[in-house]
Amino acid sequence: MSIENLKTDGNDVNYEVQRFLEFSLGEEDYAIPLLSVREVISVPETTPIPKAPPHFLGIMNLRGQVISVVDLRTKLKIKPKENNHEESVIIVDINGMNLGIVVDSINKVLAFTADDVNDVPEIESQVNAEYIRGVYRKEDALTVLLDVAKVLDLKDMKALGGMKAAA
Amino acid sequence: MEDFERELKEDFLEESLQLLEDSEQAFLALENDKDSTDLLDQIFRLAHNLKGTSRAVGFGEVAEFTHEMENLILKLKTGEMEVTDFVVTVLLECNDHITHMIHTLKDDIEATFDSTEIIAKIVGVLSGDITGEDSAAAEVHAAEESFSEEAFDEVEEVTPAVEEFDSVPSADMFEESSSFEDDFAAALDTEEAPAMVEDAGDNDVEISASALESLRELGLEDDSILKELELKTAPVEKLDEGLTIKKGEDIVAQTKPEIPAEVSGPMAEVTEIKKKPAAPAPAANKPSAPVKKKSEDESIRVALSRVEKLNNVVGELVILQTVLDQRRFTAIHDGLANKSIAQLGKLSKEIQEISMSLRMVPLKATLQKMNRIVRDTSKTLNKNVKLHLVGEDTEIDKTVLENLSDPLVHIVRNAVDHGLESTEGRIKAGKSEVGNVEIKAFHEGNNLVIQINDDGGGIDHNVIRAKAIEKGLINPNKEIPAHEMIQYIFHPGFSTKEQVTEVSGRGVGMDVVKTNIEGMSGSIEVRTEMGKGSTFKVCLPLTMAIIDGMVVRVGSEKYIIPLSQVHESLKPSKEIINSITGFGECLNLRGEVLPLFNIGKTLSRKMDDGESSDKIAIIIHNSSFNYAVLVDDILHQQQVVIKKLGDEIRSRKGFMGSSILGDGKPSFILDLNELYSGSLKKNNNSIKENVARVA
Repeated sequence: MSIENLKTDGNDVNYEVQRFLEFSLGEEDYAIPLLSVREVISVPETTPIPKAPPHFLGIMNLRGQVISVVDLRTKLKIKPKENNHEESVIIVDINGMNLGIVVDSINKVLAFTADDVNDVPEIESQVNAEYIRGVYRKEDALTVLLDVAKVLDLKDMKALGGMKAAA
Repeated sequence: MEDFERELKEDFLEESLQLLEDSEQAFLALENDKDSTDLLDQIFRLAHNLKGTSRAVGFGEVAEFTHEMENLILKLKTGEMEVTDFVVTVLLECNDHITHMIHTLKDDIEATFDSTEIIAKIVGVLSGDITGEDSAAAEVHAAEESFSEEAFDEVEEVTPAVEEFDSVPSADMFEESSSFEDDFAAALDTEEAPAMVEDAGDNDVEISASALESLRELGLEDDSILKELELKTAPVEKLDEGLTIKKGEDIVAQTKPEIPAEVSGPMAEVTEIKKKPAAPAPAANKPSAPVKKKSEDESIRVALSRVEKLNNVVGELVILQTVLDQRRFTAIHDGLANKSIAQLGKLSKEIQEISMSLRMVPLKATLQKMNRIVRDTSKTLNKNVKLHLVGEDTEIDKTVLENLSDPLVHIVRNAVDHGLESTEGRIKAGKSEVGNVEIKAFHEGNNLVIQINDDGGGIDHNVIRAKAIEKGLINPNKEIPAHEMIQYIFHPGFSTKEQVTEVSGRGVGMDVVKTNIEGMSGSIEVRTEMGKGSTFKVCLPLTMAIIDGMVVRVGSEKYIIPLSQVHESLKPSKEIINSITGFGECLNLRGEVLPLFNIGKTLSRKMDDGESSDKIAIIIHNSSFNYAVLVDDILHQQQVVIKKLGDEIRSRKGFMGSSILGDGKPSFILDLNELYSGSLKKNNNSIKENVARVA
């Protein structure tokens, strides 16, 4: 994924412009690579999934395709905005897997080069650090660049499925 | 390697498998009709074709080997050598070798091969050093070896000498068998049932061009998916000089006036675009009855995932149409609009039927493979067997077909091995020397039925009974009717190796066959008549994409239970519900004690308040145990289209998939057997104790 190339290791400066979709979770701003976004829709009706973790909101019908909807706010323990009429669902494509994520609002598309991205500040007890791929700073505003697959432990889940198949 | 080169190679590998299947059939036909010059011509053409193309795309080793094989065929063709059973065996081995190479190349395009052993054999045959008299038996053993490698190990009486024959075909077969074992494990592990559906994602289905045309007729041509499907017709155009496509155009042109006004707009556009200099349509080219040419000319290869996509969209179309239809008389007061909606309804139903039919493929290829199985097995056993195929054109869902092949091979091989008597036995019994095995496929309601009949000695229910008692499967004092007794051959634990020979018959791994077939929501039963033969009847749903479902209510939510799992449903009275401390509730139903599970508790969902006797009990008959599941209500029964679940949910137990119900919301399809497999195992012993206590 393009996010992997965000920071180049060597001295070469990467001038390629990356595009991210910025959205809000509570009062905070987050962004994911635009290329992983399939579409944005209003919050649909969902069918709850029995025995699923609380951030799994349910499954929805996207024009005949059944897709799981997750609430990143629950997962990241962020308090949703109150009286919010801008709640949306972003349909993302993570390694071929479609997923809907609920966000408080869609803000804008960011375009920047890898140079504009700062590393995650080293703070102790930073539990979320693993799925933060960087921080984009523009003047005083900070946008956290998220790795959705990591947030949701999708790799673990896939590995689990794979193990079962092999067994 | 450059992309286009790789693409060329991959195309070749796909194509060559078809060629190899054709040549295998031709070899088998040649064995029965040794003087047929037509067949030899055909075989020579196939081999030559294979040699030429493989060289052209740069598979030198395949080409070289095919060249050797061609030399042999040429000698047969010119009459310098005679066609004998042995020569055919060698040719079949060559065929297997090439198939093996192709399969290996598919996985690793750079793979290399060692063909010296088999080439030496060909050279030996050519020079007349090997005539087959001395080695024929060994050959057959070598072939047999490959069978015993497979998970089906019923033919274990093969002599140990076969170990020496580490010949190529056996390696090839072994590869097949290992993949089979995987499938097999998957099928055993019922949790993987959805995965089986998902596996199909990479596959192609052959779609008859006429079905595509029908879709186009229905005005779906502006759909991007259809365009994608259509794109794929390009290679076909190359192959048969555009015959199919042109035919299609004519159909479109002819049917145009019948298309309702709303859709004729885009249709006209497309018709125009497509009006290339089309060949004049032959007189017989009516839309309803396209000329039947060679079947492969009329089909195109399309990725199954595309067909699934189409099915999804069409399913949605039907749902939207239903919503429109429901509002038709309340919200819409325009006569023409109302009429159009009604027409639209008919059309969308028809589109749905067609799009579903795209997944259907004829059984032919799978059934023809049985020719080879019967040939090889009967040669090993020195039996004279004739295979009759009936209903090869019967169609079935692609995914079902893929999982059908292995159980079928097992049943057929068993029929030849254990079902039919030896030649002497047949003569003694006053039967013809040639044993007959018949595979008959036909549709029955919403099912496909495959019957495998043999005219052998039948299965002795007394022997089965004795074995079942010995194994502790049944109570010695219990009377069981003969036809029920025989079904015990499918019982897990009934089959072990030493029993095969003792029980003069079946029972080896038949439980696996049964599990496989049940994994596809199918069923199998056996009927037998002593001295006359046996019949295995396999019933399969026509498609795994649609199932009959029972929509139940759990609290405020709806869940779907496959009707195939439901044995009966009832409202339990207070009297038949027994509560057992430490175990839970039981249902005492007509003398049978069933554990009673509360689905709300299992799924951690809120159910209606009230006693168990206020709810509905669904009785499930499982191959190992029967049980009852409580739901709040049964809403209705309907056919549901199974939708895959994402990876994030698929690993969860008990969900077969989901489906979108009439209200547009998705519901889960439950696999109750999987959901309760854990509790059943755990409780199995305690249930038995409790049964004794309650009864």
